[in-house]
Amino acid sequence: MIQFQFRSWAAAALFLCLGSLASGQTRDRAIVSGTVIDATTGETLIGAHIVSDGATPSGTMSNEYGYFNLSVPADASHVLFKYIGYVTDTLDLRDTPLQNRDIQLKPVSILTDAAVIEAQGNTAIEQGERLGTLELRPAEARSIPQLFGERDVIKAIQLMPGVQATSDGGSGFFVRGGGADQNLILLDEAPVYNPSHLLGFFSVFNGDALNNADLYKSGIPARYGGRASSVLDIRMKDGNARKFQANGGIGLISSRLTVESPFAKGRGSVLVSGRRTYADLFLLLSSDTTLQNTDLYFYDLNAKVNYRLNEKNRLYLSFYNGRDDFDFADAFLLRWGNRTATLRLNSLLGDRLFLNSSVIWSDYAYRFGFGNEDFGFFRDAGIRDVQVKEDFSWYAAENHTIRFGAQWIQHKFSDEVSIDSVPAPARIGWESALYLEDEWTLNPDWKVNLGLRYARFDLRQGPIYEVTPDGDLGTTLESPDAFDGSVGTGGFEPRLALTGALSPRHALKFSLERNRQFMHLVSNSAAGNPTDLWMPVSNNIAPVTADQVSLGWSMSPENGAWTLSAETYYKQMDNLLEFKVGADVFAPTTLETEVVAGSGEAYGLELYAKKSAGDLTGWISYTLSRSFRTFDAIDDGDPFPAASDRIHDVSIVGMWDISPRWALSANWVYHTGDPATFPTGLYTVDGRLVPQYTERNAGRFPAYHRLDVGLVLRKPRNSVADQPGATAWDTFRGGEWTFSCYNAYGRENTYFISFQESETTQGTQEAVSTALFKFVPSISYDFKF
Amino acid sequence: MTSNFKLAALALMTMWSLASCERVIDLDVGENASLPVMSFRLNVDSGQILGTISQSVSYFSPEVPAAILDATVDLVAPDGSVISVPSQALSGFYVSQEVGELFAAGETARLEVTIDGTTYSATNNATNGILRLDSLEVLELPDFGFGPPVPEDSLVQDYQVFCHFPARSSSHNLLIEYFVDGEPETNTIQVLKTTPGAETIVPLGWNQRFFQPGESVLVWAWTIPEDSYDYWLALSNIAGSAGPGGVPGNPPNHWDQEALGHFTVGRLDVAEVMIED
Repeated sequence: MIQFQFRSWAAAALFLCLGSLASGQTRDRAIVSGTVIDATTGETLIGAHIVSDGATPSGTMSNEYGYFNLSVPADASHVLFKYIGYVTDTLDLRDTPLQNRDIQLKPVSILTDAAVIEAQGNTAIEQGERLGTLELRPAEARSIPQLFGERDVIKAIQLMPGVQATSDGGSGFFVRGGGADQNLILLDEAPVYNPSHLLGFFSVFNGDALNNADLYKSGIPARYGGRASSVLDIRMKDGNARKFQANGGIGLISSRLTVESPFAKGRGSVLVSGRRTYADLFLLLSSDTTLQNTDLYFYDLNAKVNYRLNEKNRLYLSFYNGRDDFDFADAFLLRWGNRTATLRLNSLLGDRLFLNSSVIWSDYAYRFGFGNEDFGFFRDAGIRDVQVKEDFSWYAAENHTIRFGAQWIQHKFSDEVSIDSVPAPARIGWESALYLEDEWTLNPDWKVNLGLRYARFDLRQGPIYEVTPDGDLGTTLESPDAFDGSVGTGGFEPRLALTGALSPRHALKFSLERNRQFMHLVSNSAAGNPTDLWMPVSNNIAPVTADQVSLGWSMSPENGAWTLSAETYYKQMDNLLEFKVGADVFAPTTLETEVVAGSGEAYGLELYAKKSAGDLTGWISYTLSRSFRTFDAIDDGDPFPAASDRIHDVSIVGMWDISPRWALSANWVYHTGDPATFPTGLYTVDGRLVPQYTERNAGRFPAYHRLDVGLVLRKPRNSVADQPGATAWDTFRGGEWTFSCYNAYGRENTYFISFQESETTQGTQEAVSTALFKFVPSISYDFKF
Repeated sequence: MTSNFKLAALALMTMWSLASCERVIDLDVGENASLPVMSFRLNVDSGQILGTISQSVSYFSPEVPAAILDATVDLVAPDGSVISVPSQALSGFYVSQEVGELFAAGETARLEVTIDGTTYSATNNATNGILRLDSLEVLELPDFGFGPPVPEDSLVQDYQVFCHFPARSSSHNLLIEYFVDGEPETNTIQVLKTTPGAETIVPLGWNQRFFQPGESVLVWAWTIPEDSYDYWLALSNIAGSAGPGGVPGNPPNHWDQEALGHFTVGRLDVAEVMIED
């Protein structure tokens, strides 16, 4: 058990930080600032390392918008710009101007020789800073064989240490023993409440439209908040600012197309990307009219426009619309979809202050039902957010970057059932937060990120349910104003991340943090369903708080060709919810009477070895972890394994560039079977046959493992493609074929277990394992012109 | 062109057929802890005590839970007097004894069951009042326009039976059971809380049981205390829900040692109706 004395250490840390800031030296130091971009597309590069030379080098990273601001020592003569997959660039400090520059990095070509890669090795402190964070670029995900041949960022992240898929082929994930609802998933800052398509087999993130994805497992900066376990921050591409470009892919299940183009003489660019499945088109071939009238598809549409207003202001507008539709001939329907929109303005306010202002809209809704509009049952539910956010980055001194900001979100939770004579009123809550964060370079070998966040949630509209001491529904009040008690809650969330270089190649990182979550996703399955309901905290439901302490070590040789890391963590979670035994999960007046609150703890060790240079690249990841829950109302308060409790989790990923034309890739995953509650006995109660169960999650599914393989045949670009006067067709003829097989050795991994009377031995029960995917071969063709 | 499409469709369907599969597996669920199952009801108005005792069996064995008849069952009244409940051949334990005002509202009844020298004890409180049935209403089943198709030549008309309970100022916990032509219906367990100030109308079998002309329907409406309500509500959601989607677990244990079953202290109202054309 850990009980942080947050107030005392947070106050001490802030005092130290501000004291140091007051004495920060800025004289005789030049300031280099600007944006790091891809030289070929103009795309901003997030997380690029920028480091000066000199006796006491200084360094920083480009932020979420590619912006950097570095105060370099007086004896420095050059600044290096490094980014994985790009040729390192050097800026001579005699060049002027030094501020507000576009630093253009050239991507490493497929034929890159090792020497270029060698130049990109990061320092120990740079490696150490990444501990607790998983960084993935869509280009990396492209090489990994995946279900249905899709190149999915979330599926690639699931192969990383400490991250586990909730189910076979699913897009949900657990991070370090937390629940699937404890991950804040952001697409250009807008929360995405359900990242799944087609019951989870595809994620909503179309890799062609994405620039970067960072998953924070620990050491989460104070600027993020609202979920207990992790933050997945996904950024869309800005669009090619140099030339028109189109790329896409044709697969067995879906196809996609992305077009990008500059406009206004390169001051702006636009990107539009779409994807659609077409399984329903085959249904039209059926002679059965029922099947002909059945819809079965999903689609995505991503769009983004950015425009440089002037040297100091840049405007971004991004949009996402995704929809799933399963409509079985007017008899049954299930539709759901996310929509997000983000309007952002990046502003430079003077030499040292960067401001991002955002207005964000996010909407997740589903419709489930059967019958027709006259006689039927329909449920319409969802969550809709309107958000305003201000994020400041103040490059206050050479060793301090201060970030501070404010956030306000209005959440609207709706849940309407058609058979109710009076529609249930929506519940509206306000979530607000303030944060302060200091990235403090203590000396060239040690850095600390100190942060403090205050977050609060207030229920403003909608019914208030009073629950009796017996757990039954009491009085229902029409609004919070009628309630004689508190419907608001909040608190401080301190964050600390300390990184140190033990030697030129070894680094340590220690982090300590609290995260608070004001909404729960109430689900009766670990994998999650589209029809799961988000429920806000209320007079009966308290926010989740999660305290985590984490310690990590990493080492990398000078050339950065490979990396080793080990991380260990302990996490304690309070106010978690579970359905009580025998809960009414389908049609209660409020779920607040069907759940019970408890606590949880998770701990583990993550080992990671990654090879990132040469013809053969990939990684091996092993996680040893446990995750338990304790609820007074379940099993007499004895701890039981959480749905995310998988003791051993192994991923091996290999990508081999056999030749410029051929590439082979494979990944193998293994994890301990999922915990489950099984019947062990039978008995009768007044003539009814009733199963006798073990304690909650005392049993396990069989162990899960599978091998995926992929083969890529690249058709080299036409030799005239880059010549002046080349047509689009000349370029088009360069594409690549991908052949892959998910679950290549046909392991029948258990998706769920049911019980039935044996067909061979009458009167006995037998367990039946249902597997979703045995062999799933796929073929796709990707093109670019 | 059409044949190409069909070929593609066939290929797609073949791929899907490779995907999903079911198989019987050996599941290691550990040893079943065989527990005594003691299910007893006390009607505090009539003084009737009815119950069964058995032992749970392994889920995967062909054994059938067998009745235990050689146990000793005693009901301890609030005044300390003991009423012995004898076993009846093949039918469990039963006694009917005048109890008068012995179990007034809120009074605690204790049942003690001794099996092979081990005594199990359960207590429960008598409820405050009884919610009596107003009437039973028989209605012809309407065609909702959806659901499984009904053969056009079907001559059998389905009916539903609705239980009407009067409005009361406080909420009552109800357990509704029924018998058709003398046979108990055990497919569904109907347990509910009534809304204060409102009439309560409950379709027998939660709209899942339809009746035909000529059938005789006997309804038992038990008014039960909170502990019993929790037990029956949990049981109603668990029984038969071993597949995905349920929230599995054993219902609350009423006994002072590890055991299964219940001790329900309730007040019973009975009504009967004949389904006619």
